[in-house]
Amino acid sequence: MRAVRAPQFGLAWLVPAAILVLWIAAGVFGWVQSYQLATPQGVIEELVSLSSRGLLAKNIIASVERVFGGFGIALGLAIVVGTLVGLSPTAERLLDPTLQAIRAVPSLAWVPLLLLWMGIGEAAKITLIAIGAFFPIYVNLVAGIHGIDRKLIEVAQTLDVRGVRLAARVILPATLPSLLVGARIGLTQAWLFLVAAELLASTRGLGFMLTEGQQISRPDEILSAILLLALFGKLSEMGMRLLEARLTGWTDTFR
Amino acid sequence: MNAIVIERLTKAFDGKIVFTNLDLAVTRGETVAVLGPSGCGKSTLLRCIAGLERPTSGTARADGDVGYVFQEPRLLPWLTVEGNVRFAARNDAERARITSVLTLTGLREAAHLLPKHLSGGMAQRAALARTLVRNPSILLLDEPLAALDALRRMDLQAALASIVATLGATALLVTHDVDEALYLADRVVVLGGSPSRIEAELIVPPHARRRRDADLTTERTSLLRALGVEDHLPTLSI
Repeated sequence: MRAVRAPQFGLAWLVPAAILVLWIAAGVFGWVQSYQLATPQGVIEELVSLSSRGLLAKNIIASVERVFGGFGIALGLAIVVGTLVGLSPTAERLLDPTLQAIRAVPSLAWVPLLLLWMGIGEAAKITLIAIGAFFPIYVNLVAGIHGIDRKLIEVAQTLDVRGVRLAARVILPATLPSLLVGARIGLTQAWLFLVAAELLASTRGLGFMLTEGQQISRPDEILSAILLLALFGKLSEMGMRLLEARLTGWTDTFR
Repeated sequence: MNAIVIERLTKAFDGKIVFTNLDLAVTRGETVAVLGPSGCGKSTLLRCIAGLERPTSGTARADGDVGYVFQEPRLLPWLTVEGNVRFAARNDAERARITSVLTLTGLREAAHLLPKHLSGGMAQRAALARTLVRNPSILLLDEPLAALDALRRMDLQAALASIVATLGATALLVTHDVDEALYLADRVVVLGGSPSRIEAELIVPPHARRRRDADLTTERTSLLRALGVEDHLPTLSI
Protein backbone atom coordinates (compact mmCIF):
# COMPACT_ATOMS: atom_id res chain seq x y z
CA MET A 1 0.00 0.00 0.00
CA ARG A 2 2.71 2.42 1.08
CA ALA A 3 4.62 2.25 -2.20
CA VAL A 4 1.54 3.43 -4.10
CA ARG A 5 1.21 6.61 -2.00
CA ALA A 6 3.83 8.83 -3.61
CA PRO A 7 2.66 8.74 -7.24
CA GLN A 8 -0.96 9.10 -6.02
CA PHE A 9 -0.17 12.64 -4.88
CA GLY A 10 0.86 13.64 -8.40
CA LEU A 11 -2.08 11.72 -9.83
CA ALA A 12 -4.54 13.90 -7.92
CA TRP A 13 -3.35 16.97 -9.87
CA LEU A 14 -3.80 15.40 -13.30
CA VAL A 15 -7.52 16.12 -13.70
CA PRO A 16 -7.37 19.73 -12.41
CA ALA A 17 -4.43 20.37 -14.77
CA ALA A 18 -6.41 18.98 -17.72
CA ILE A 19 -9.40 21.15 -16.80
CA LEU A 20 -7.12 24.20 -16.60
CA VAL A 21 -5.68 23.46 -20.05
CA LEU A 22 -9.16 23.10 -21.54
CA TRP A 23 -10.24 26.27 -19.79
CA ILE A 24 -7.33 28.28 -21.18
CA ALA A 25 -7.94 26.79 -24.63
CA ALA A 26 -11.62 27.75 -24.46
CA GLY A 27 -10.57 31.38 -23.95
CA VAL A 28 -7.78 31.39 -26.51
CA PHE A 29 -9.80 29.74 -29.30
CA GLY A 30 -13.02 31.55 -28.43
CA TRP A 31 -15.09 28.36 -27.86
CA VAL A 32 -17.29 30.14 -25.34
CA GLN A 33 -18.59 33.71 -25.25
CA SER A 34 -16.66 35.84 -22.73
CA TYR A 35 -19.85 36.95 -20.95
CA GLN A 36 -20.51 33.26 -20.16
CA LEU A 37 -17.06 32.06 -19.17
CA ALA A 38 -14.16 34.13 -17.88
CA THR A 39 -10.57 33.15 -18.70
CA PRO A 40 -8.23 31.94 -15.92
CA GLN A 41 -6.37 35.24 -16.21
CA GLY A 42 -9.68 37.07 -15.83
CA VAL A 43 -10.45 35.14 -12.65
CA ILE A 44 -7.02 35.86 -11.21
CA GLU A 45 -7.39 39.55 -12.04
CA GLU A 46 -10.82 39.55 -10.38
CA LEU A 47 -9.39 37.87 -7.25
CA VAL A 48 -6.56 40.44 -7.11
CA SER A 49 -8.99 43.30 -7.60
CA LEU A 50 -11.38 41.98 -4.91
CA SER A 51 -8.50 41.52 -2.56
CA SER A 52 -7.11 45.03 -3.15
CA ARG A 53 -10.54 46.49 -2.35
CA GLY A 54 -10.69 44.38 0.85
CA LEU A 55 -13.76 42.55 -0.44
CA LEU A 56 -12.07 39.15 -0.73
CA ALA A 57 -11.14 38.98 2.94
CA LYS A 58 -14.53 40.38 3.95
CA ASN A 59 -16.45 37.73 2.00
CA ILE A 60 -14.22 34.86 3.07
CA ILE A 61 -14.34 35.86 6.75
CA ALA A 62 -18.14 36.21 6.63
CA SER A 63 -18.55 32.71 5.17
CA VAL A 64 -15.97 31.02 7.38
CA GLU A 65 -17.58 32.55 10.48
CA ARG A 66 -21.00 31.28 9.45
CA VAL A 67 -19.73 27.80 8.62
CA PHE A 68 -17.86 27.38 11.88
CA GLY A 69 -20.63 29.03 13.91
CA GLY A 70 -23.24 26.65 12.51
CA PHE A 71 -20.90 23.68 12.62
CA GLY A 72 -19.95 24.39 16.24
CA ILE A 73 -23.58 24.54 17.33
CA ALA A 74 -24.35 21.35 15.39
CA LEU A 75 -21.36 19.52 16.89
CA GLY A 76 -22.31 20.46 20.46
CA LEU A 77 -25.99 19.55 20.02
CA ALA A 78 -25.22 16.32 18.15
CA ILE A 79 -22.82 15.16 20.87
CA VAL A 80 -25.40 15.78 23.62
CA VAL A 81 -28.42 14.35 21.77
CA GLY A 82 -26.44 11.55 20.08
CA THR A 83 -24.92 10.38 23.37
CA LEU A 84 -28.35 10.38 24.99
CA VAL A 85 -29.99 8.46 22.14
CA GLY A 86 -27.01 6.11 21.81
CA LEU A 87 -26.89 5.16 25.47
CA SER A 88 -30.54 5.24 26.51
CA PRO A 89 -33.13 3.07 24.72
CA THR A 90 -35.88 5.27 26.17
CA ALA A 91 -34.32 8.41 24.72
CA GLU A 92 -33.90 6.58 21.42
CA ARG A 93 -37.59 5.62 21.25
CA LEU A 94 -38.55 9.14 22.29
CA LEU A 95 -36.31 11.21 20.00
CA ASP A 96 -34.94 9.20 17.12
CA PRO A 97 -38.12 8.79 14.99
CA THR A 98 -38.76 12.55 15.09
CA LEU A 99 -35.15 13.38 14.27
CA GLN A 100 -35.15 10.92 11.36
CA ALA A 101 -38.30 12.60 10.00
CA ILE A 102 -36.72 16.05 10.29
CA ARG A 103 -33.61 14.68 8.58
CA ALA A 104 -35.76 13.62 5.60
CA VAL A 105 -36.84 17.25 4.95
CA PRO A 106 -34.87 18.75 2.03
CA SER A 107 -32.57 21.51 3.24
CA LEU A 108 -34.06 24.31 1.20
CA ALA A 109 -37.51 23.66 2.66
CA TRP A 110 -36.30 25.23 5.91
CA VAL A 111 -35.32 28.51 4.31
CA PRO A 112 -38.76 30.22 4.12
CA LEU A 113 -39.57 29.21 7.68
CA LEU A 114 -36.24 30.38 9.04
CA LEU A 115 -36.55 33.71 7.21
CA LEU A 116 -40.05 34.12 8.61
CA TRP A 117 -38.91 33.41 12.15
CA MET A 118 -35.52 35.04 12.27
CA GLY A 119 -35.48 37.54 9.46
CA ILE A 120 -32.60 37.80 7.00
CA GLY A 121 -29.90 38.24 9.64
CA GLU A 122 -27.08 35.97 10.70
CA ALA A 123 -29.29 33.85 12.99
CA ALA A 124 -31.28 32.32 10.12
CA LYS A 125 -28.11 31.50 8.15
CA ILE A 126 -26.29 29.95 11.06
CA THR A 127 -29.38 27.93 12.03
CA LEU A 128 -29.71 26.55 8.51
CA ILE A 129 -26.02 25.55 8.49
CA ALA A 130 -26.41 23.97 11.94
CA ILE A 131 -29.39 21.91 10.72
CA GLY A 132 -27.33 20.69 7.78
CA ALA A 133 -24.26 19.79 9.84
CA PHE A 134 -26.17 18.25 12.76
CA PHE A 135 -27.52 15.11 11.12
CA PRO A 136 -24.34 13.48 9.78
CA ILE A 137 -22.69 13.97 13.18
CA TYR A 138 -25.73 12.70 15.07
CA VAL A 139 -26.29 9.63 12.87
CA ASN A 140 -22.63 8.59 12.96
CA LEU A 141 -22.30 9.12 16.70
CA VAL A 142 -25.38 7.01 17.49
CA ALA A 143 -24.15 4.27 15.15
CA GLY A 144 -20.73 4.49 16.82
CA ILE A 145 -22.15 4.08 20.32
CA HIS A 146 -24.39 1.21 19.24
CA GLY A 147 -21.39 -0.41 17.59
CA ILE A 148 -19.14 -0.44 20.68
CA ASP A 149 -17.76 -3.92 21.24
CA ARG A 150 -19.79 -5.47 24.08
CA LYS A 151 -16.69 -7.42 25.02
CA LEU A 152 -14.85 -4.24 25.97
CA ILE A 153 -17.75 -3.13 28.15
CA GLU A 154 -17.56 -6.51 29.89
CA VAL A 155 -13.87 -5.98 30.56
CA ALA A 156 -14.74 -2.67 32.19
CA GLN A 157 -17.44 -4.44 34.21
CA THR A 158 -15.02 -7.05 35.54
CA LEU A 159 -12.66 -4.20 36.52
CA ASP A 160 -15.46 -2.29 38.28
CA VAL A 161 -15.11 0.61 35.86
CA ARG A 162 -18.52 2.26 35.54
CA GLY A 163 -20.35 5.59 35.38
CA VAL A 164 -18.34 8.65 34.40
CA ARG A 165 -15.09 6.66 34.22
CA LEU A 166 -16.68 4.15 31.84
CA ALA A 167 -17.93 7.01 29.66
CA ALA A 168 -14.62 8.86 29.60
CA ARG A 169 -12.20 5.94 29.39
CA VAL A 170 -14.12 3.43 27.24
CA ILE A 171 -17.23 4.79 25.52
CA LEU A 172 -15.71 8.10 24.38
CA PRO A 173 -12.52 6.69 22.85
CA ALA A 174 -14.41 3.76 21.32
CA THR A 175 -16.85 6.17 19.66
CA LEU A 176 -14.29 8.76 18.59
CA PRO A 177 -13.66 7.29 15.10
CA SER A 178 -17.38 7.43 14.21
CA LEU A 179 -17.76 10.87 15.76
CA LEU A 180 -14.87 12.21 13.67
CA VAL A 181 -16.23 10.68 10.46
CA GLY A 182 -19.58 12.32 11.27
CA ALA A 183 -17.89 15.64 11.97
CA ARG A 184 -16.00 15.52 8.68
CA ILE A 185 -19.19 14.87 6.71
CA GLY A 186 -20.99 17.48 8.84
CA LEU A 187 -18.40 20.12 8.01
CA THR A 188 -18.78 19.39 4.29
CA GLN A 189 -22.56 19.71 4.72
CA ALA A 190 -22.01 23.04 6.50
CA TRP A 191 -20.31 24.44 3.38
CA LEU A 192 -23.18 23.19 1.20
CA PHE A 193 -25.78 24.79 3.45
CA LEU A 194 -23.75 27.99 3.64
CA VAL A 195 -24.25 28.55 -0.06
CA ALA A 196 -27.98 27.84 0.24
CA ALA A 197 -28.19 30.39 3.04
CA GLU A 198 -26.10 33.05 1.31
CA LEU A 199 -27.71 32.69 -2.09
CA LEU A 200 -31.02 33.81 -0.69
CA ALA A 201 -30.36 36.80 1.45
CA SER A 202 -26.98 38.25 2.17
CA THR A 203 -24.74 41.21 1.50
CA ARG A 204 -21.41 39.46 1.96
CA GLY A 205 -19.96 35.97 1.80
CA LEU A 206 -18.95 33.57 -0.96
CA GLY A 207 -22.60 32.75 -1.74
CA PHE A 208 -23.26 36.47 -2.10
CA MET A 209 -20.42 36.70 -4.65
CA LEU A 210 -22.28 34.05 -6.66
CA THR A 211 -25.59 35.95 -6.72
CA GLU A 212 -23.90 39.30 -7.32
CA GLY A 213 -21.85 37.83 -10.17
CA GLN A 214 -25.00 36.47 -11.75
CA GLN A 215 -26.94 39.75 -11.35
CA ILE A 216 -24.25 41.95 -12.86
CA SER A 217 -23.16 39.33 -15.43
CA ARG A 218 -19.65 38.82 -14.12
CA PRO A 219 -18.59 35.19 -14.75
CA ASP A 220 -15.15 36.01 -13.35
CA GLU A 221 -16.71 36.79 -9.97
CA ILE A 222 -18.85 33.63 -10.06
CA LEU A 223 -15.85 31.46 -10.92
CA SER A 224 -13.77 33.13 -8.20
CA ALA A 225 -16.43 32.23 -5.66
CA ILE A 226 -16.66 28.64 -6.93
CA LEU A 227 -12.89 28.21 -6.76
CA LEU A 228 -12.79 29.62 -3.25
CA LEU A 229 -15.62 27.29 -2.16
CA ALA A 230 -13.76 24.32 -3.61
CA LEU A 231 -10.56 25.44 -1.87
CA PHE A 232 -12.13 25.93 1.55
CA GLY A 233 -14.25 22.78 1.30
CA LYS A 234 -11.16 20.78 0.46
CA LEU A 235 -9.08 22.45 3.17
CA SER A 236 -11.62 21.73 5.90
CA GLU A 237 -11.96 18.14 4.73
CA MET A 238 -8.17 17.71 4.80
CA GLY A 239 -8.02 19.27 8.25
CA MET A 240 -10.62 16.82 9.55
CA ARG A 241 -8.80 13.86 7.99
CA LEU A 242 -5.57 14.97 9.62
CA LEU A 243 -7.36 15.18 12.96
CA GLU A 244 -8.77 11.68 12.40
CA ALA A 245 -5.32 10.31 11.62
CA ARG A 246 -3.86 11.97 14.72
CA LEU A 247 -6.59 10.88 17.14
CA THR A 248 -7.56 7.44 15.85
CA GLY A 249 -4.30 5.98 14.59
CA TRP A 250 -4.94 3.00 16.87
CA THR A 251 -7.70 1.58 14.68
CA ASP A 252 -6.73 -1.67 13.00
CA THR A 253 -8.32 -1.19 9.61
CA PHE A 254 -7.52 -2.09 6.02
CA ARG A 255 -6.61 1.46 4.95
CA MET B 1 -12.45 -21.72 54.09
CA ASN B 2 -14.08 -21.34 50.68
CA ALA B 3 -13.19 -18.57 48.24
CA ILE B 4 -15.81 -19.54 45.66
CA VAL B 5 -19.17 -21.05 46.54
CA ILE B 6 -21.70 -22.18 43.95
CA GLU B 7 -25.01 -23.40 45.31
CA ARG B 8 -27.89 -24.94 43.38
CA LEU B 9 -26.96 -22.75 40.41
CA THR B 10 -29.28 -22.91 37.42
CA LYS B 11 -28.87 -20.89 34.23
CA ALA B 12 -31.20 -20.87 31.25
CA PHE B 13 -31.07 -18.79 28.07
CA ASP B 14 -34.48 -18.29 26.42
CA GLY B 15 -35.84 -21.35 28.17
CA LYS B 16 -32.91 -23.58 27.21
CA ILE B 17 -31.34 -24.86 30.41
CA VAL B 18 -27.52 -24.77 30.32
CA PHE B 19 -26.99 -26.34 33.73
CA THR B 20 -29.17 -26.93 36.71
CA ASN B 21 -28.61 -27.26 40.46
CA LEU B 22 -24.85 -27.05 40.19
CA ASP B 23 -22.90 -27.20 43.46
CA LEU B 24 -19.20 -26.46 43.70
CA ALA B 25 -16.92 -24.99 46.33
CA VAL B 26 -13.32 -23.90 45.83
CA THR B 27 -11.10 -23.69 48.89
CA ARG B 28 -8.88 -20.65 49.35
CA GLY B 29 -5.57 -21.21 47.59
CA GLU B 30 -6.88 -24.11 45.55
CA THR B 31 -6.79 -24.30 41.75
CA VAL B 32 -9.78 -26.06 40.22
CA ALA B 33 -10.12 -26.79 36.53
CA VAL B 34 -13.55 -27.15 34.95
CA LEU B 35 -13.26 -29.48 32.00
CA GLY B 36 -15.93 -30.11 29.43
CA PRO B 37 -16.88 -30.05 25.75
CA SER B 38 -17.75 -26.73 24.16
CA GLY B 39 -21.30 -25.63 24.81
CA CYS B 40 -21.48 -27.34 28.21
CA GLY B 41 -21.73 -24.01 30.02
CA LYS B 42 -18.19 -23.77 31.39
CA SER B 43 -17.86 -20.11 30.45
CA THR B 44 -21.39 -19.34 31.61
CA LEU B 45 -20.43 -20.70 35.01
CA LEU B 46 -17.51 -18.26 35.27
CA ARG B 47 -19.65 -15.40 33.98
CA CYS B 48 -22.20 -16.09 36.71
CA ILE B 49 -19.49 -15.95 39.38
CA ALA B 50 -18.12 -12.67 37.95
CA GLY B 51 -21.58 -11.11 37.77
CA LEU B 52 -21.56 -10.87 33.97
CA GLU B 53 -24.62 -13.17 33.86
CA ARG B 54 -27.50 -13.24 36.28
CA PRO B 55 -28.25 -16.77 37.53
CA THR B 56 -31.74 -18.06 36.71
CA SER B 57 -31.78 -19.48 40.23
CA GLY B 58 -29.29 -20.36 42.92
CA THR B 59 -26.16 -18.43 43.83
CA ALA B 60 -22.57 -18.08 42.65
CA ARG B 61 -20.31 -16.06 44.92
CA ALA B 62 -16.65 -15.22 44.99
CA ASP B 63 -15.37 -13.94 48.30
CA GLY B 64 -12.43 -11.68 47.53
CA ASP B 65 -10.85 -9.53 44.84
CA VAL B 66 -11.70 -11.18 41.53
CA GLY B 67 -9.50 -11.04 38.44
CA TYR B 68 -11.05 -12.26 35.18
CA VAL B 69 -9.11 -13.39 32.12
CA PHE B 70 -11.19 -13.87 28.98
CA GLN B 71 -10.61 -16.32 26.16
CA GLU B 72 -9.63 -13.40 23.90
CA PRO B 73 -7.30 -10.63 25.09
CA ARG B 74 -9.97 -7.91 24.88
CA LEU B 75 -7.41 -5.11 25.15
CA LEU B 76 -8.61 -1.55 24.69
CA PRO B 77 -7.28 -0.90 21.17
CA TRP B 78 -6.53 2.79 21.74
CA LEU B 79 -4.23 2.14 24.71
CA THR B 80 -0.70 0.74 24.64
CA VAL B 81 0.15 -2.43 26.53
CA GLU B 82 1.20 -0.32 29.51
CA GLY B 83 -1.91 1.86 29.14
CA ASN B 84 -4.12 -1.21 29.26
CA VAL B 85 -2.43 -2.41 32.44
CA ARG B 86 -2.66 1.10 33.90
CA PHE B 87 -6.37 1.18 33.03
CA ALA B 88 -6.94 -1.65 35.52
CA ALA B 89 -4.87 -0.11 38.32
CA ARG B 90 -7.04 1.49 41.00
CA ASN B 91 -4.50 3.28 43.19
CA ASP B 92 -0.86 4.30 43.51
CA ALA B 93 0.12 0.98 45.03
CA GLU B 94 -1.25 -0.86 42.00
CA ARG B 95 0.23 1.66 39.57
CA ALA B 96 3.60 1.01 41.21
CA ARG B 97 3.20 -2.68 40.27
CA ILE B 98 2.84 -2.00 36.53
CA THR B 99 6.52 -2.48 35.70
CA SER B 100 6.78 -5.66 37.73
CA VAL B 101 3.74 -7.33 36.13
CA LEU B 102 5.01 -6.33 32.68
CA THR B 103 8.32 -7.98 33.55
CA LEU B 104 6.55 -11.03 34.95
CA THR B 105 4.62 -11.48 31.69
CA GLY B 106 7.67 -10.72 29.56
CA LEU B 107 6.24 -7.53 28.09
CA ARG B 108 8.66 -4.82 29.24
CA GLU B 109 10.01 -4.37 25.73
CA ALA B 110 6.47 -4.23 24.32
CA ALA B 111 5.05 -1.81 26.91
CA HIS B 112 4.68 1.05 24.43
CA LEU B 113 3.04 -1.00 21.63
CA LEU B 114 -0.58 -0.70 20.59
CA PRO B 115 -2.67 -3.92 20.59
CA LYS B 116 -2.78 -3.94 16.78
CA HIS B 117 0.96 -4.53 16.75
CA LEU B 118 0.92 -7.50 19.15
CA SER B 119 1.00 -11.20 18.35
CA GLY B 120 -1.77 -13.37 19.81
CA GLY B 121 0.46 -14.63 22.59
CA MET B 122 1.69 -11.16 23.52
CA ALA B 123 -1.86 -9.79 23.57
CA GLN B 124 -2.98 -12.60 25.86
CA ARG B 125 -0.02 -12.00 28.17
CA ALA B 126 -0.95 -8.30 28.23
CA ALA B 127 -4.49 -9.29 29.25
CA LEU B 128 -3.01 -11.43 32.00
CA ALA B 129 -0.80 -8.52 33.15
CA ARG B 130 -3.88 -6.28 33.27
CA THR B 131 -5.59 -8.75 35.59
CA LEU B 132 -2.52 -9.36 37.74
CA VAL B 133 -1.76 -5.68 38.38
CA ARG B 134 -4.63 -5.63 40.89
CA ASN B 135 -3.13 -8.56 42.78
CA PRO B 136 -6.43 -10.47 42.82
CA SER B 137 -6.97 -13.14 45.44
CA ILE B 138 -9.29 -15.04 43.08
CA LEU B 139 -8.59 -15.69 39.41
CA LEU B 140 -11.35 -16.68 37.01
CA LEU B 141 -9.67 -17.97 33.86
CA ASP B 142 -11.92 -18.58 30.86
CA GLU B 143 -9.85 -20.72 28.48
CA PRO B 144 -7.20 -18.00 28.52
CA LEU B 145 -4.75 -20.06 26.46
CA ALA B 146 -7.12 -21.72 23.98
CA ALA B 147 -6.32 -19.36 21.12
CA LEU B 148 -2.55 -19.86 21.31
CA ASP B 149 -0.33 -22.27 19.41
CA ALA B 150 0.92 -25.34 21.28
CA LEU B 151 4.40 -24.04 22.13
CA ARG B 152 3.20 -20.66 23.29
CA ARG B 153 0.49 -22.37 25.30
CA MET B 154 2.99 -24.56 27.19
CA ASP B 155 5.05 -21.46 27.88
CA LEU B 156 2.12 -19.56 29.30
CA GLN B 157 0.85 -22.57 31.24
CA ALA B 158 4.17 -22.64 33.07
CA ALA B 159 4.00 -18.87 33.65
CA LEU B 160 0.42 -19.16 34.90
CA ALA B 161 1.30 -22.00 37.27
CA SER B 162 4.13 -20.01 38.82
CA ILE B 163 2.04 -16.82 39.02
CA VAL B 164 -0.83 -18.57 40.77
CA ALA B 165 1.63 -20.20 43.15
CA THR B 166 3.40 -16.88 43.83
CA LEU B 167 0.17 -14.98 44.46
CA GLY B 168 -1.23 -17.79 46.57
CA ALA B 169 -4.41 -17.09 44.66
CA THR B 170 -7.50 -19.22 44.31
CA ALA B 171 -8.10 -20.05 40.67
CA LEU B 172 -11.01 -21.45 38.76
CA LEU B 173 -9.83 -22.42 35.28
CA VAL B 174 -12.18 -23.33 32.48
CA THR B 175 -10.61 -25.43 29.74
CA HIS B 176 -11.25 -28.19 27.25
CA ASP B 177 -7.64 -29.34 27.34
CA VAL B 178 -7.15 -32.38 29.59
CA ASP B 179 -3.39 -31.92 29.85
CA GLU B 180 -3.74 -28.27 30.76
CA ALA B 181 -6.23 -29.18 33.49
CA LEU B 182 -3.92 -31.83 34.90
CA TYR B 183 -0.89 -29.57 34.71
CA LEU B 184 -2.42 -26.54 36.40
CA ALA B 185 -5.13 -27.81 38.74
CA ASP B 186 -5.25 -29.40 42.17
CA ARG B 187 -8.68 -30.73 41.34
CA VAL B 188 -10.47 -31.31 38.03
CA VAL B 189 -14.24 -31.16 37.66
CA VAL B 190 -15.78 -32.62 34.51
CA LEU B 191 -18.92 -30.93 33.26
CA GLY B 192 -21.13 -32.65 30.72
CA GLY B 193 -24.55 -33.84 29.66
CA SER B 194 -27.57 -31.78 28.68
CA PRO B 195 -28.40 -29.90 30.80
CA SER B 196 -24.87 -30.02 32.20
CA ARG B 197 -23.99 -31.46 35.55
CA ILE B 198 -20.78 -32.47 37.27
CA GLU B 199 -20.06 -35.89 35.82
CA ALA B 200 -16.72 -36.62 37.44
CA GLU B 201 -14.30 -35.13 39.89
CA LEU B 202 -10.63 -35.93 40.27
CA ILE B 203 -7.99 -34.87 42.75
CA VAL B 204 -4.68 -34.40 40.96
CA PRO B 205 -1.84 -35.82 43.06
CA PRO B 206 0.83 -33.12 43.54
CA HIS B 207 3.53 -35.30 42.00
CA ALA B 208 1.54 -35.61 38.78
CA ARG B 209 1.92 -31.93 38.06
CA ARG B 210 5.03 -32.29 36.01
CA ARG B 211 4.76 -32.65 32.29
CA ARG B 212 6.95 -35.72 31.90
CA ASP B 213 5.53 -37.68 34.75
CA ALA B 214 4.27 -41.05 33.54
CA ASP B 215 1.77 -41.18 36.39
CA LEU B 216 -0.25 -38.54 34.54
CA THR B 217 -1.42 -41.30 32.21
CA THR B 218 -3.77 -42.80 34.76
CA GLU B 219 -5.46 -39.47 35.47
CA ARG B 220 -5.52 -38.58 31.83
CA THR B 221 -7.26 -41.80 30.89
CA SER B 222 -9.86 -41.46 33.60
CA LEU B 223 -10.63 -37.85 32.62
CA LEU B 224 -10.90 -38.73 28.94
CA ARG B 225 -13.24 -41.57 29.88
CA ALA B 226 -15.38 -39.14 31.87
CA LEU B 227 -15.51 -36.91 28.78
CA GLY B 228 -16.70 -39.91 26.77
CA VAL B 229 -13.43 -40.37 24.88
CA GLU B 230 -11.73 -43.77 25.00
CA ASP B 231 -7.98 -43.34 24.99
CA HIS B 232 -7.15 -46.15 22.56
CA LEU B 233 -3.81 -44.87 21.41
CA PRO B 234 -0.82 -46.12 23.36
CA THR B 235 0.84 -43.30 25.26
CA LEU B 236 4.40 -42.76 24.22
CA SER B 237 6.75 -43.01 27.14
CA ILE B 238 10.15 -41.41 27.03
